[in-house]
Amino acid sequence: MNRPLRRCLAAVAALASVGCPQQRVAVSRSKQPPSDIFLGRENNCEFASGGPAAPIGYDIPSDFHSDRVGAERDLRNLQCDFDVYSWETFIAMNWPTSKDGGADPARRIGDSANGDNATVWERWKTTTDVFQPNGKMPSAWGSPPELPLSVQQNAVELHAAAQSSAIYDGIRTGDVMFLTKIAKGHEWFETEQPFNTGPLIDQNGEYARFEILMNRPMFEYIVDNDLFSADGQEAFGKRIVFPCGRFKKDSNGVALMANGRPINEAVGAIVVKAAWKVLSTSEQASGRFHMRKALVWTPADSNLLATDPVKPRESSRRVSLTPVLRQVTMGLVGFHVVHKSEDVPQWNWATFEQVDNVPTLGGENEKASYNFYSREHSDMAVNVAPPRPWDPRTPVTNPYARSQIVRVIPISAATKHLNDDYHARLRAVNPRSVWQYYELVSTQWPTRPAVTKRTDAAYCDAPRVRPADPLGGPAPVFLGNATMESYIQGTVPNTSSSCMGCHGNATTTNAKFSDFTYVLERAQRRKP
Amino acid sequence: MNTVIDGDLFDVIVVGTGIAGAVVAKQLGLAGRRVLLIEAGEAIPHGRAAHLERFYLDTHKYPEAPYPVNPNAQSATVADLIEKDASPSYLDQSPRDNYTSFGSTYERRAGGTMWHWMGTCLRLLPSDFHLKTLYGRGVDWPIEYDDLGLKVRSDGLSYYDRAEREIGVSANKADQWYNAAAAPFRADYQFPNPGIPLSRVDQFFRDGVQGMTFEGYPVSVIPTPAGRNSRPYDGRRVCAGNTNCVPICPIEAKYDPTVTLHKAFNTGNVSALFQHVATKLILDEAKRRVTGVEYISYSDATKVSPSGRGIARAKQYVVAAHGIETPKLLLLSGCKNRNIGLNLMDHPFYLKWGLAPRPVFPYRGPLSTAGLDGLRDGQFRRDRSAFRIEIGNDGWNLGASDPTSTLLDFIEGNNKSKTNESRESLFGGNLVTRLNDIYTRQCRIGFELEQIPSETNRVTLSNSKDALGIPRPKITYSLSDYEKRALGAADRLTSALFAKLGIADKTSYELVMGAGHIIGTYRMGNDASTSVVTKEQRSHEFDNLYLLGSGVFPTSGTGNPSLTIAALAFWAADTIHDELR
Amino acid sequence: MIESENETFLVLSSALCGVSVDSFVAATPPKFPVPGDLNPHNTPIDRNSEFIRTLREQVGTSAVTSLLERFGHERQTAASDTVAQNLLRDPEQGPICRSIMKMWFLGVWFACDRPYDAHHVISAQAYKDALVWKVMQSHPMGYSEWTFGYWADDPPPLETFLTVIDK
Repeated sequence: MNRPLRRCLAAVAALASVGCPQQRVAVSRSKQPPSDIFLGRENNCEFASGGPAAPIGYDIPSDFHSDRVGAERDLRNLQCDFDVYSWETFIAMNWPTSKDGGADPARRIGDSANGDNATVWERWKTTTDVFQPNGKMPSAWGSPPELPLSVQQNAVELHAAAQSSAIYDGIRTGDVMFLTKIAKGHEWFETEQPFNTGPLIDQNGEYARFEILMNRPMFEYIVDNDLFSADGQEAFGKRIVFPCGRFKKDSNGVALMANGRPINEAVGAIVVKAAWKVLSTSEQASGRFHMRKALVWTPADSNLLATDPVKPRESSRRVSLTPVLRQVTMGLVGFHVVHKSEDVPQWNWATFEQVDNVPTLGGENEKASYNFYSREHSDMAVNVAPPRPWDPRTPVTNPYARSQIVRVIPISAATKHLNDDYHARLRAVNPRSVWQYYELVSTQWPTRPAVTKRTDAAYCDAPRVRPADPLGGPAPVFLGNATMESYIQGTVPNTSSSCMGCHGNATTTNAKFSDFTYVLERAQRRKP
Repeated sequence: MNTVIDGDLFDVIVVGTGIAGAVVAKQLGLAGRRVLLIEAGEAIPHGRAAHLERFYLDTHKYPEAPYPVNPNAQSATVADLIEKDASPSYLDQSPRDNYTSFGSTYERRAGGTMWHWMGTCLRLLPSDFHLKTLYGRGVDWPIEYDDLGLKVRSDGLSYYDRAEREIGVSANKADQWYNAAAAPFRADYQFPNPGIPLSRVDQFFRDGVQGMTFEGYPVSVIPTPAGRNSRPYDGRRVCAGNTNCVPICPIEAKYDPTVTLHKAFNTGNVSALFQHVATKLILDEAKRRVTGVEYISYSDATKVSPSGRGIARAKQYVVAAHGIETPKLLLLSGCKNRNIGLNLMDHPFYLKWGLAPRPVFPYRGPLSTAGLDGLRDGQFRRDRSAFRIEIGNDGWNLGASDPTSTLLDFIEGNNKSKTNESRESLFGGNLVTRLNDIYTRQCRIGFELEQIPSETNRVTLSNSKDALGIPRPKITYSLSDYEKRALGAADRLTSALFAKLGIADKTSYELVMGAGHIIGTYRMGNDASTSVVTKEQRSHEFDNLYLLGSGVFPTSGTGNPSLTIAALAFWAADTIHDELR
Repeated sequence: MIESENETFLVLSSALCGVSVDSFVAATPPKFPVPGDLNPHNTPIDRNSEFIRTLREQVGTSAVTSLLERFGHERQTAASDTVAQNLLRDPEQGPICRSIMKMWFLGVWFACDRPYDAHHVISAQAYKDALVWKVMQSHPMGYSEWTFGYWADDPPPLETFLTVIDK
């Protein structure tokens, strides 16, 4: 039985009366608030030049910039400008790299024969690199990545998985990435219990994997201040304030311009969270994914045992405890990019998805198939964590035990049109570009940013600047990526996914506000 | 359609998935034992959003506000008790006044009542276990503080230590030794998380009570050990001071038993039947064994929808359905022990509130972060209940339904809050500045009284039935003179405390409410004629039956029961595990 | 015109509740203008529209229109707070005004003939944006944007939460 994706909005009956009524109107509680109270979602962005001004380029914009003035500077227009900022960032970060890890000025995004390319951000440091066991100092920026020690020590599996040393060379040169994480908060290299939001299982029964990376300014702030260990965090008496991106400015604080664009001075801290999907042969051939070879690690974990809770008569299924290291080709399906800058000190929160991920609740949904939704099983409950056991070792063959995900808050028409515009530009570089298959979901930004004069002591320290209003009124109010906030999409305050709402709770291992990032929680204690 | 779950599938059946049931299931699951949980209420929800939305949209925000009403597995609600709602309260009771109303409610759902607990994790005092010997009142427990708090087991931890780790209690050990009566800790013991900072309200009390004594006993402010994260712990966030512990922590910084239930399911050895109401234990008196649990299942938690019946069997049985449903089940099963249901106790909770002389900024931080605990023990226990005093960070929210009441007073020109003597009706900037002045100075304390057992306080079976045809619990309850004299002492202490601190008393009515604790109805003891279970929490009559929860406490003690329930559950799990060998 | 009724409603609410129009859903803007200042002219959640819609549903469109017309008209010759005071004293319009105040302060609709009975919470967002928590220099119970330990210190001053209108 196919149930439509649309949810009913119950109508509230109106009662006309004069002055103070004797009767009261019954209130039917609708599931969603009336959509017109969430502003900034009108149909199309308006740009002076007809479209976003900037050409496709490899400079990550240091900060947000908008030319609009006066009455034009409203929510709708600023949302458009933030979405442009996010697209410019996405394109610059996904630019092909040169030997030193930076963008290659001689190339253009997606310009290779297969439309794909290794990217700038993939050379950044992962949280696995930065937060080492026993609080050990990470290797310097630009050092070849290494497999974690616990993985290297698992000799049997390594030899089984590795056909040749080319794979390990691949890790060191960055051609092959290392992936492990299956769920938010779930970290096999730490002592904490898994967070119970749940993993993401695709329509082939494979578990998605996640990783978090940071750029050089962010990494160096952590290393210079000893924040990579729990001990260092405790000893760090000051507030955590990550470096801000900024434009070159004159003495009045006005950005200096060149060719109609502000001049970048320093990029500031950027964090990326990427979601990857195991690609089948046909998916690899489709040309619709940015692809990368990966070594995917599932350690032995005594928590990975469960009995089917609804069929107690069946004998308990014990899952093998052996670790597994697989060599697979992964495709990028989700991409968060979070950027701190002088004019957006509560950080700019942009999120992108591969276009085939999920249908939208109440939407047209014409695709034949999706990465994380089954049309054939549309009677399944949606956005519910898969049943336990959560075991990535073997593909999940029961379709009802895979993730059935829908997008709850639609991508706005304005953002969709903007996505179309950028896709056309990407195709103009190369009609086979894989990057045309990625869409911006939205950008969350503070409408009341904690901006201050640069000479102010509270420079770039949002909670100190606006202590009564720490988040600064995020717009849009709720935002989530269907691959990374799959199960917490919605519009309930403090609970449904809001980038800033959740990250406002982020702290260090010793409960100090960590400037909107959860990465510092991963730091471990030094061995005595 | 009748189902039978064979006795060879599971080692242990546990009825009830609150903290006691969850701990036992997890411990036995980790030890390789097969456990079946039977829970009358709904399964663990997929997220908190529905609960939070229900909470935000509730006009009253009582403890039950976030949780959906389930007509198949009802329990009493605060709304029923306070408002004498049109629909009859699930509990059959006929209180005459404040002192004869049993005011504590509970939840029937996965995770149990601790969804909406405050988080207070106090150990009982050594003297709490010997009320009879020391003060000639109540009864002694058949165990000592040392059995829970000092004796270490094979893992190097005491049962209290283990409970504190499971929950993730935040406290500094040094703060907890406030006088000779305080609960001692092992020398090398560390709480899993450091203590939670005192609020501005706590600091105001702390500074003001310096050097104060009451009837010879020192009055001092002690930070309260709490089951809420002061560090990222167990994959959960740090407390962000949502000031909403009761009825629900939006970010799960406060522990609730679904955390332990998830770990139990992760072991691979624990299954659960949710939406299955246990109706009877099948008893073989001659063999002194329970041989099965009968149940009714229902399909839809939003409407009355019985869908089947069945029997589940195992080797060992645990009932951990809290202090009203457990004796109800035993009575329905025909258990003959005359003490079942008797000695129902609460911690009568007596609220006082007032206006501090300067802003103390309530409505911030956890609902309570400290208390005046030094008065929990003393010779006065010969004559009157001991009490601990909870300092509230919630202004007048609990007693007076603020901030709404005071706001309505000043908009409508009334004086229900006792802050608007001249019954002014204000608007504009005047209204804002007046309200700011009042709200920022609000403070409240709550006296949590020990209650001694009395056989006339009891749970029996009502003649009227619930929606599934099961008899409702009937409650008879009242405070004794022992507790009422403590109310008098609380009045005297409040006068002295408020005078010392310069607090203007604005308590607008006498409020003695339930603390949410349900104690004593199947108490432990060495003598089978006066108790229901042994000190190992095994039934005196049935060798394979264990009863867990605060129902086993012979006296209510002077601390909130959750930590002790958890510690005793760890003990029972060890006992049952040994039994299964 | 609907648009001007919305604006009038906001000004009336401001006079009744004693806070600047900006304060209704935003903390006060920074005291100094900063290059690149982002403040847009409308906010992500439009409490104003939600409340005026609720008011029209509960007391009727014509009652709302006559209230706002009277306020708009009388303001041309008298100060806002004088007009507000007159409205509050009016036997029919006074109760409506007091219900408006309760909407803003609590996010809850109180029927004007039952001033002490909360009828319904207008929405989860309305609860979260309710003014009363700013009045006490705090946050709604159940919604905190601050982090661990904030409660050990004084909150920021009232003027950072709201701009209170003086008489």
